[in-house]
Amino acid sequence: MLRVMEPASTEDVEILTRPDVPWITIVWNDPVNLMSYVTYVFHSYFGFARPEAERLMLLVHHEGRAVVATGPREEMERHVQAMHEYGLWATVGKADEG
Amino acid sequence: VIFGRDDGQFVLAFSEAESELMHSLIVEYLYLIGGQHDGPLPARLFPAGYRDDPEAAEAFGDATLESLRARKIDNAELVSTAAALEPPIRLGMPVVERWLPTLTDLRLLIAERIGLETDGDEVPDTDHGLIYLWLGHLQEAMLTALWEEGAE
Repeated sequence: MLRVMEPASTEDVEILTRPDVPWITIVWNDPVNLMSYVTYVFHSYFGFARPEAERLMLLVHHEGRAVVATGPREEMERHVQAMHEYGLWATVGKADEG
Repeated sequence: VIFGRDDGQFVLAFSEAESELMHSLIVEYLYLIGGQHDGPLPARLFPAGYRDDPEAAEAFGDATLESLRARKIDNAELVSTAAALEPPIRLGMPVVERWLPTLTDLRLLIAERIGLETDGDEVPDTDHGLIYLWLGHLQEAMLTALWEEGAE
């Protein structure tokens, strides 16, 4: 008897139909975290040189959010968890919403 | 209070009141995140991993919550142990780096309590407001020491 293979989830379908859209890590602004701390986290965790870390921090501060990484979903989830360990507010998204 | 860098270490000269304050802040923090009370976990310390996808957010939370909680508890216990030492307390820079997330979480919790919601909100001239500023001052001093140490 033949069985129709069902996709595991709607997310799989989304990945299959949009293979060119990568995942992103978004850091959101909050009124609490010190600018120097956000810069430190971007430098220390992602390895950005200090000027780039500061640019991203200012982007978060002025625009309300910044995309700080792009890549496979699992990697973005690891980054987001790390940001939560630092106390930063971060989420995983798709590049076309960044 | 004296915060400063000396010979590659960060030196904290807490007064007795400051040591007690740090201790009580950590006790309350561990109570809130440790799972011994019935209330929900502070949402800002355990944020959703996805903004517009509740299913993915729930799966992310299920997969990460316990390790996130364990990490926060580890850091807070390290802070608590060090803060209980006889001042002046000397901290190596790797230890300083583990104080920073705990100080951040403490500030986030107090910010909620004193109603800091947007960038323009003023810190009130209350006990909680002063504690919030004190924690920020300590964190800023630690960050300055880390940058200086890294620059050498």
